[in-house]
Amino acid sequence: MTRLLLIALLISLFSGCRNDWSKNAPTRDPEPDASEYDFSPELNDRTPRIIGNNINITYGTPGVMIIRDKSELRFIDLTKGTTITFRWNKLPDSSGPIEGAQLLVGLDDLRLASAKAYKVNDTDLFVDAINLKGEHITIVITGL
Amino acid sequence: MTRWRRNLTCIVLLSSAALIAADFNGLSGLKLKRAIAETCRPTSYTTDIISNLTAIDSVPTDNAVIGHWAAASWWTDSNRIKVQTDLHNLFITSPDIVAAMSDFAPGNIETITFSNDFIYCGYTGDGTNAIGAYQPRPDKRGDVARTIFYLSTVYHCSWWNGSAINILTDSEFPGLNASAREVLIKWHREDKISDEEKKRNNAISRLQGTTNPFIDNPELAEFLWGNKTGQVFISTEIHNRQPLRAIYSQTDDEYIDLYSPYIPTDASWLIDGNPSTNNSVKTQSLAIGRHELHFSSGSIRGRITIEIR
Repeated sequence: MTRLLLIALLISLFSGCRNDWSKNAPTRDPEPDASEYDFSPELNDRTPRIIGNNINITYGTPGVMIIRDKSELRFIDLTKGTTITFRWNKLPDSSGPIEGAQLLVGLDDLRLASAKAYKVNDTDLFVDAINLKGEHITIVITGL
Repeated sequence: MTRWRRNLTCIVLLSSAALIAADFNGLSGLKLKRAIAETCRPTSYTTDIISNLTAIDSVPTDNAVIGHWAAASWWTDSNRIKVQTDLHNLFITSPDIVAAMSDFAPGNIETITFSNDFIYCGYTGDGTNAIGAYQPRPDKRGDVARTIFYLSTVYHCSWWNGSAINILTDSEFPGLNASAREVLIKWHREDKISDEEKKRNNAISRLQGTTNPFIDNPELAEFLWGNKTGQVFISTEIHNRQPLRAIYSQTDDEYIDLYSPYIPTDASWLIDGNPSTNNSVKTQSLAIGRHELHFSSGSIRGRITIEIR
């Protein structure tokens, strides 16, 4: 009996601790379930672009320049004077989460909840980024 | 200079290509010639010569024969194919003119063996000093002079063989012998560049990737062979460099400057897949429509679409 009371006491203690930890964690909207989001249509379109979160910039429009360096890519609309920059610390080898992903409009950080690469190779990068509101932003660069 | 030493010089020149400024301002003498050679040699050669030339010159293809201002036999076998197919050197003509011109050099004819309203062929001087030559009608002489200037600068002297000795020298610079310089500079000065010649130059550059710089910058010849020989070249056609933008117009004085504050200044460029060695490209040398420019510098790679209207 004493042993049962001791177990019950330990369980209640651990439960309480976990509740306290949750209260101290930074608040964040629940991330959408990745399994519900179908990225495959995006993979079929090789047009370099950043679309989502009120951003809509597509390569091929005259005056839109794309630049890729080791840890960032930039879309620059020379006509509108806008620059969208996607930076990272580390890309996965072929697909998976991107470490240190950052999306900037001009100098403003859009604050991403996550960024997942669906395809990475020497010239192509297909990314599904998600902002803090859970909105998807498609980032594609090809041939660079 | 022995053949092997000249070939070695060629290798050294080619390997230093990346160090040469893409435009000619501030250069003189041998450096100026090297810069022209490295930046103005065609980036591609067309295989369909007849149809391209007849389209450029607006002449019918029926019975069309290709003439060479610099005879194909002037060039060594291994390099002949390039000079033979360089459209700047070619014109559409008739078989009798091709036969009369033989492998002659341009010059002032004293003994005429063939003539029509387009060209005289025959010999300069008489006796043992006479050489076979052709002399086009006055409004074509400048065109010919600028073509020979171009060929003697773009194609290195080690490519020439004995047949060219009447006009080209065996040294790397300046490439033209004294009598050829005298005749051709005079023709160049007397027959100014026409709108037709400019249009032809731009049309050829759309196919080959490069223009004849002696048509773009007529004063260039004076700095190599004329009254400014040895002086530092400063183009009178300098324009204010403008960063890349979306839309251009195809007017006479409009350039696409391969420059942007977002792109390293040492970037190398491709225009529609063809390497560009010039910092500025005339919009007239590209077709109306959209064009893709690729650039790279170290780890940086990029591209932009522009439109010419």
